[in-house]
Amino acid sequence: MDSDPNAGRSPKKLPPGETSLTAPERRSAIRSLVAELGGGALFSGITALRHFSAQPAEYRDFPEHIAAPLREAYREKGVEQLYSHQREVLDRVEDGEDVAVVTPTASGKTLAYNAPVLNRILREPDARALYLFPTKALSRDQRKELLELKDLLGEDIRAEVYDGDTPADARRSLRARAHIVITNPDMLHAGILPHHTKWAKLFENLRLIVIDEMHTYRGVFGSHLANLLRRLRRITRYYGAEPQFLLSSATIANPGELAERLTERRVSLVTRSGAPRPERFFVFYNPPVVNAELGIRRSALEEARRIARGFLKGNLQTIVFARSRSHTEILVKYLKRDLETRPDRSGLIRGYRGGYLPKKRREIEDGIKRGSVLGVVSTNALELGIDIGGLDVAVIAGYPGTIASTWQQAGRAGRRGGTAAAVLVAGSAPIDQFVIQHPDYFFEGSPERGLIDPDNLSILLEHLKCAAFELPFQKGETFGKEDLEGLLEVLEEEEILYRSGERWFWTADSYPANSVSLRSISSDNFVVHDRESGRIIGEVDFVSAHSTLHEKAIYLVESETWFVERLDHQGRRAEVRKIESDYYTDAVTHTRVSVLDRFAASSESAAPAAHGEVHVLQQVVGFKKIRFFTGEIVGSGELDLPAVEMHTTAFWLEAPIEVLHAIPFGPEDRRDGVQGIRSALRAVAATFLMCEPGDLGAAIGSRADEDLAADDPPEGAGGLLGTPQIFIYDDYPGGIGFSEPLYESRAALLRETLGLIERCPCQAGCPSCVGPVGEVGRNGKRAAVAILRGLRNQQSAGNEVEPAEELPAGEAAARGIAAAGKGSAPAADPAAP
Amino acid sequence: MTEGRRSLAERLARRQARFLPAVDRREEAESAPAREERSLPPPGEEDPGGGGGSIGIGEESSADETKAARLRRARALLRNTERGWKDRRPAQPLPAGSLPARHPTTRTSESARHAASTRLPPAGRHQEPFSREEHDFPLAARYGGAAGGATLEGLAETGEPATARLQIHREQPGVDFARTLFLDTETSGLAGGTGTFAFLVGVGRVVGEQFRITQLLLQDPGGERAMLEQLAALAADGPDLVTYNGKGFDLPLLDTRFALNGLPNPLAGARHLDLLHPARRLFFGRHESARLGVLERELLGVEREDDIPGDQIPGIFFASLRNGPHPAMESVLAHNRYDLRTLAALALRAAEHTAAGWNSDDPAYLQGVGHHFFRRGEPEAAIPLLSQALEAGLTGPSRERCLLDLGEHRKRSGDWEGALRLWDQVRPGDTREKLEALVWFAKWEEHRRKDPAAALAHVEDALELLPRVGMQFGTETRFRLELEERARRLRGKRRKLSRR
Repeated sequence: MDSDPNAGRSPKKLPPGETSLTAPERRSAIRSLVAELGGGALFSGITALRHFSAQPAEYRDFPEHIAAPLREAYREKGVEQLYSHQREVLDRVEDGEDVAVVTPTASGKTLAYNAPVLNRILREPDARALYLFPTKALSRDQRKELLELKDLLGEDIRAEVYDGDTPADARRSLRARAHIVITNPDMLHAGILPHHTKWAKLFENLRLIVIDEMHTYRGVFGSHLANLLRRLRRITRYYGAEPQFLLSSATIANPGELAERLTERRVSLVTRSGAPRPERFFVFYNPPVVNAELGIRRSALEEARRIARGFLKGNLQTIVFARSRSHTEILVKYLKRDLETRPDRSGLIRGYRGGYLPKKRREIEDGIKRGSVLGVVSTNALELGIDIGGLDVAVIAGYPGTIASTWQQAGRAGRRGGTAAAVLVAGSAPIDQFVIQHPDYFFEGSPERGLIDPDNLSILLEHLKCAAFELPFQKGETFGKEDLEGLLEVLEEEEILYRSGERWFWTADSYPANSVSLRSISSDNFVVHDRESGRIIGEVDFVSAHSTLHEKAIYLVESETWFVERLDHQGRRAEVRKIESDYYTDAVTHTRVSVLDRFAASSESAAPAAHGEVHVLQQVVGFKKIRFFTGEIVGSGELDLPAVEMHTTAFWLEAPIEVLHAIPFGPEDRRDGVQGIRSALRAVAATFLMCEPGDLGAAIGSRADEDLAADDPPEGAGGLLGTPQIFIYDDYPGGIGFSEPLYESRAALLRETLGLIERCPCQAGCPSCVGPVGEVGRNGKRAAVAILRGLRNQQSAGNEVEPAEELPAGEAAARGIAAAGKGSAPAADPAAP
Repeated sequence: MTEGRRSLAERLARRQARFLPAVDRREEAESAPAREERSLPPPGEEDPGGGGGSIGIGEESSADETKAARLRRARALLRNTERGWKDRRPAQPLPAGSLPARHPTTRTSESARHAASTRLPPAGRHQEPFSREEHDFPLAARYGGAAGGATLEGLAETGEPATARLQIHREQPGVDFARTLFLDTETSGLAGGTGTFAFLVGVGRVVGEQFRITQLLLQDPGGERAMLEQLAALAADGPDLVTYNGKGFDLPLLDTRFALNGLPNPLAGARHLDLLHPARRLFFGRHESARLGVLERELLGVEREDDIPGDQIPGIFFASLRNGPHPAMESVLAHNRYDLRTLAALALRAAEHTAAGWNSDDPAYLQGVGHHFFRRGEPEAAIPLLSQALEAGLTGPSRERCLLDLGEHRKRSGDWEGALRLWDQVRPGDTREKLEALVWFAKWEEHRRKDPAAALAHVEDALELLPRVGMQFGTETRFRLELEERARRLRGKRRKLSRR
């Protein structure tokens, strides 16, 4: 949700303590710093500098159907008039339509759904509304906003947050009395729907369902949400209610389609924003190449630090987005050192990410709003609409993966009536390099599509089980567009349901909602205990725990270093001790993939590709100690941790022996070549699928080894035993359904992977194609090209007909990547500091 | 409350009819005149039955094939229980078929000895949606083995005010055992939620000189409504209730079941004694836990014959649902009867301990009763028992608990010094009692001696101790929040002091 836009018309925000700047000073400071950046004297890698002029607001009056007291309350808040899009939403909701509002960050979407909800409750005091937010933090924020309105209204309207943090004794009264229940999908899934009789009052009177940040419900999470909404509507139907949907979203390419697939209803779209936009500069910056032979660029982290430092020293409030938790922590440490030069300046720079305890997060959010925090380094946790007001500058350290996210992050900078700047600093990943060198792809291109597949069988089955637990299924009932009876019979045969007459009953001693997590991560978090104070200092999700909380790891919280003394895997806790460490740790993970089931395999004689179900075993086997600031490796250690295993789906490709033997390279080079293909294939696949590279795992195995694969190719005998296989798997337990589209477009995938490597101007491998030469060896790149050509020849020999233009929408981008190479960047600037 | 529930139930009952989704309603409307045409899918809908009529032959077979493949995959997915992160809890194993065969001996020997009579034979169960059986046990009969065992003598004569003294809160009314339903359910799981149901409801009550147990056993989930109506009939005269953890488990579960079946809950608003909570206090320290099975064995001396472990019970029900009568179901029924008799016997024993003038040689029992009264806010009854217990050489956690209570009593009457002397005797250790003593010391330093630094030291000790005590997560969190808040306040006070 956004902060209320109208509140900004009479700025309440306090300037940051001693560093306060007036608005004109701020404007000229931003302009001159941007000009300095763009001038290229300090930074040679500017690839774009765009200017967006301010746009005035388009106002409308409050409609008559909004109750006078509510209009009055908004007036007291400083909202005299509505933006045109807000008015449009209000009118359509009044007409009984399901509405999705899709406008930029801070355009007043919150008002667009709060006003109709409050209006409805004023008119019908028993009416109830359900708000779904993707995160807990957003829920708290929303409640504050509603409480403020309630106070202005002077009515007894209760808005309560129901999530894992809600105290047990508050839950009972909340269920019966809250007019607005604010929660998240996970809680609805496991805490509310399976206990719907306790919520009878809510479901009987449910009039509006608000789904904010709709764009976050893409891919697997979105498919889960669509099924969750099927379950929710099944329950509301049971209680005789037919609520309206009100959705809001950041800009994506297909908001209407996504809204309709999520809700399975006709949704009316409001996309034209009437909110004013501040003047904005957007700078694209590519760190210079420092070693042309090795294809190494200066680190995005280091460059983001330099750029942010410039703005911060000009007393401009700046948010830096980092790509990972550890990058966030490292940047906090660097910027603290740069900026917090005197004791009285301490606290000017803060970190922000998911694992911080709620209280700490609130404190940081408040600090940003009040201005006492000058700089904040965040993961994408602050990308969503947590109310932190508008800042001056956003520095994005590494392409966030999607156009939509990038705009969201850039939108964090922008005070009303002010001037804002955003700087994107590219990393070395192929997609970063492509985007930074093709600014039009970003500025002119349409943002990503939100794709979901609610009928994905494994997701659907989990929710069918949950739905059957909630209420017995009746013969003739539907669930989406599924042939339900067939699936119910299967569930019956598997002794999960029991059919009695026309109904199917849940008959298993379990709580099915507990065995499905809506997000990729297991909900089973590890807590981090400070051994000395006995206090919990943080939480880490199950999957990351192995790589960040292993014994002897350095766990970072806001740049404080904690030494992990003990990891209690069973008890899900780590004991840490605070130390002064000049290094951080980076875990070394081994991955093995084995095939469980082939769904389909290509018939091409010599370049077999397949997709199916696989077992992935990951084990953290060791770690490296890396010195802060220099990045030098100062030590390492071995670890003996339990492996994490999952079943998921994968696409894989084989490199037949005859192809390998036909190329003029030795066994070691061949191995390097296969490894290089793995890196490039994964990058291309991610672009095809419009997902982040991190959504995909990649591993090498060999078929002779009975479908066993390791990310380190087996050693000895020249490195390769049997027929090597390259796996690209969905890095989500259970799989997301990526493997089938990859399999279907395998020919294009091979072609684009070859193109990417061939056209990359590096000499012997770089992070943008097969990986740096240090990983793939001197001949790895050439071997990769030779192998891929061999595979392509084999394929055409097998009369493979390439699927013409029915590729996923990301293909254009994939082609783009292939065309992009780091070599087209300017050479390293020796004058650069 | 009761009113609201009733009307909700009625509303739900009306809605049951409406709960058929749109497609189904349309089908019904259309199917009346022309049943034969039902195989034609409604326009725009996928054929729900599987045998589409209007699709071309080639397409049909391929659609069928896809559908069949999808169902095959669904089956494979369901069987692959290890899917996803493997670290999840393993699935509950179903009990092996190797359970002991039915126990006619148990039944007959019991019947012979106690003249129990089975009103309705188990035969013919499966024609009915649920079965009902009754067993009478003479109140005077001893059960549970030659060595010890218990009787239910005096059950009919025990009522208020004796039972009111058992409640953990003084304002709760007692129950009249003569008109009480002793209630215990066996459920399809422990998870709760609308998918968990009671397949066996057992109630015991006094009928003349007998303790009559009525057991309602579901034969099919579809028969739940009929079974609940039967339960409602048993509760028609508005009886009192006695349960073991009924407040937290059985009663809310039944409440949900009544609501889902569109029936008013006849148990709502009944006077209720949940024996678990007083039992925890009364028998604290003397017994390893307050589980019914533990107290039955240790306190009452009852030994069960051929008891079945509780975690196997749902599996036996599911197995008999699918494969016909399961031999071990008899053991489940017997288990439930044991539970009910023990519930009554334990209620009697607890009432005995809390009766005026009761005394014991066992200091731990004295402390338990004293603690119970103290927490009820009846120091006049509590203090003599607690003092006697301490003098009689109380040991272990009971002793520490006793010191805390006695100290708190002193403090309330203004004798802080006397209180501190008692709390000071609480032995160090990773115990909740030590933790509470530290909190008392912190309060003393903060509020009486006005020394926030000293108070803070105690709070920090307590915080350090907390994770080692091993309390339940929720309790530990409550303590932690309370302690952290206290520490925060004390740091503030300390700062203020140092500035002056």
